[in-house]
Amino acid sequence: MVKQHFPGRAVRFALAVTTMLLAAALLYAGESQVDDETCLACHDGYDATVKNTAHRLGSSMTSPATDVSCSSCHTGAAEHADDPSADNIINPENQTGQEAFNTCTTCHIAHVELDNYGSDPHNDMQLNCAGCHRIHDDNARLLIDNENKFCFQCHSDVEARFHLQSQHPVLADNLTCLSCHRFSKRQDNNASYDFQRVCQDCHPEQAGPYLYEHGATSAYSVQGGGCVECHDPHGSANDRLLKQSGNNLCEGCHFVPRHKTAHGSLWKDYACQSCHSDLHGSFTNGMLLDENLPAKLGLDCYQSGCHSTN
Amino acid sequence: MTKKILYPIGFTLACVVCLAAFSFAAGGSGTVKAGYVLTDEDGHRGVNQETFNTYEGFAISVENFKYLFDNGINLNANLRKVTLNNRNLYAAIGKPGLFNVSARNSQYRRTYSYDGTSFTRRRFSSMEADLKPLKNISLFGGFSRTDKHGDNLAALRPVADTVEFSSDYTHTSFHAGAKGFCPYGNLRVEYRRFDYYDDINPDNDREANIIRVSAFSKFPQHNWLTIAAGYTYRQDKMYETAAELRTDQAWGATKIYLANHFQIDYRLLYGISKQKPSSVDTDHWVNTVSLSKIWPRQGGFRLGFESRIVDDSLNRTGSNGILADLWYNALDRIILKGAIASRSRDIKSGTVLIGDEDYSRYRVSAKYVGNRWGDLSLRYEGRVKDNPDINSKTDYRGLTGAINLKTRNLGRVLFSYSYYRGQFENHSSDVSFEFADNVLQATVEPELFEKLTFSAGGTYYRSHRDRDTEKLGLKLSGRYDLAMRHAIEVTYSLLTYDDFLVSSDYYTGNIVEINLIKDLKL
Repeated sequence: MVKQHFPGRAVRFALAVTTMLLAAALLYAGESQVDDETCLACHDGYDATVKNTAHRLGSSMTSPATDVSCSSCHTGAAEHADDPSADNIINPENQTGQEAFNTCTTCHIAHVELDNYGSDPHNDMQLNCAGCHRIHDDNARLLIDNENKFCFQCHSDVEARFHLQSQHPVLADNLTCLSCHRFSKRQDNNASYDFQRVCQDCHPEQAGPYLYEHGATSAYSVQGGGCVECHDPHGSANDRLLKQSGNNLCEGCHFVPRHKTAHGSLWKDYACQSCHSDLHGSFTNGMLLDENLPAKLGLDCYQSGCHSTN
Repeated sequence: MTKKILYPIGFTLACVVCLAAFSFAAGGSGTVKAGYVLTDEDGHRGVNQETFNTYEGFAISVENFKYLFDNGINLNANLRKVTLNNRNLYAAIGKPGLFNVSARNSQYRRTYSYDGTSFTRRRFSSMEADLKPLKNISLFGGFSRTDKHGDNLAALRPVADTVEFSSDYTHTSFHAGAKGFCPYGNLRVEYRRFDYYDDINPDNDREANIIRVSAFSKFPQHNWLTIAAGYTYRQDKMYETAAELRTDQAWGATKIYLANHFQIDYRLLYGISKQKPSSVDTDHWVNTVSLSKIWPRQGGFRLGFESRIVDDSLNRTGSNGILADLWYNALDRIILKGAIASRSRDIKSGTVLIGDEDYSRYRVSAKYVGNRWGDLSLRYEGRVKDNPDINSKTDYRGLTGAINLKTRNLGRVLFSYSYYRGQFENHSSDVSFEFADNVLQATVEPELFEKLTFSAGGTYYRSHRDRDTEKLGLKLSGRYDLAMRHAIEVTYSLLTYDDFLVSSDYYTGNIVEINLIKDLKL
């Protein structure tokens, strides 16, 4: 009998789970309490405010891709139709943050994933989804306003950082806040080196994984770590978005006195990066040294047996 | 070759969007801009200035374009400066809830030397598509290509040393997957592949294959419980050196909602990484648990604990960390926040470069929100790190203050001032430094005339570190509305930079942009 390896079992397990979930999904059918026509008889024109969006009413389409109706979000429509009053129908915009979150995540489950794995301060502050999204509008992603300017209304200190010496080109319109701050599909971010995926999408040359990692690039869920350990992604007074300039940055974690005194203080005024050039990670040595260092220095520090590369 | 293909595709897309806009009689809107960008730089090229991405020339843009077809298909496009090298193009076509296809193309450069000889240019192109063949199933996939080439220069002050790097690489990415979901959860399966080709150092050429499976579920009758789990396989191969790195990782997480807004989060992660040719296997274990409580809109706290073990047989390290944070919101006017985190790492066996380590960081902040006039905020943060094995102890403290004023009485007026001050000491040596940065911003958009709109904005920035620098940016913009939804817009920007310690490092840039604008209503 051939022993079954782990990946084979994992695939079979995944297939079984897939089948069960899909079966459950297909069996589920949401029912609207009141047809849209009834709602629009009084609330004339509201269908036009969602016609360009994913909330377009299924009843207004000849081949609806999704079955969204007024009562999908505004629960209590049956009672409201019999006795029209603002008090007997749910308007998510007027709900508490948690109540609105529960309503919206009935469909927008990606935000629940975020809630499960990450910590979103917007959730902590119980901000209503409608604080950033206006449903009866056709802006991109239904955001209330142009993305960056909108975020800056609350995060004005971040806007200031985009004016510093080096900065990500957000004010130049090459990026938006949402290019990096992904409020959904973020479930992989806690997974080992994949934490840096947001940065690596644009900076693959530093992505790794390397055989010899720089420890600072590891993500610590307790207190930071990763790219942002050395770089301030919004803006910095130093080149390359670095939190400190030159050797100051390295010496925040590493201080090796012998570097200042060895060989008659020969290397005292050198930048750490002159030798440790592979500072994001190396495929050849644990000290993250330049592969061509012996040729660069005109002497071989390793052949002599004085130094090791690991 | 790629440029020859992608640029026409981008341009064709732009043309298709424009033609579509004019071919149909209803349901569209957007803005077409045609104009000229003039730049005049004095002294030196703009190192790290906003002008790094400015090219002179004739520019055409189609912005915020939307078109809705009668069958529900949406066309969206944002094509900025199609004819210039700093183009930023995005176009998408889709039917909400059924399918979406989008394409992007952008490019920008950065200048690193004052004579303008060291610069890099990065280009990015991608295409993404998703399709929902069934209500609860979504298929997705995409392709992207990034290439970057050029030289960059790092003047590593305060030491007298300069490092130069060259880049010339191409990175391609392909992914495809499926997602099934229902109101109680979802399952996601995804395959990704990366290829990286380095024309300067072919030893860096590599590929990566990744398979991810993740699932999330709530329970119909038990809203207090959610669970999630996933598995990731990743294999990286270096072409030249035949080195390989393979990682198998499994994780599980749960969130338990208790009475009175108490909540427990727990996450377990296990990964094993295998290397070739060194045949080193590394195990990773991470356990994280936290308890939190929220008083809706008023406040909350969280207490967490994390343990990590990294074991590659030769070196075994273990770390334990704690986290505590709290916040309080008084009448939506005063928001107080505080957080502290601490981690202690022990080298159980073997040697690690910086040895045992105790690392703590903390921050407290206060913000006053004045709904009518703006807000005021203050933040204090610090980090303390102790590495007894290498006799190093560091202490960093920073203070940030900001005031934002705004009024709508005379249009839109914004004023903000931010202050950053920091101090760093390494107690085991003579290494220390201080810095102070001041950023002043103001924007005025008076509403004085019906057809003439005008805005003026500026930023003044002063930094004292190893350099003593000053930076000024002014932007004046005016728009006059003409007949039949036409308008003319003129923007003038002035950017200056001075390093008072290095007199040769200065920069002055003048940029004028003139656009004829047509607002489309189709």
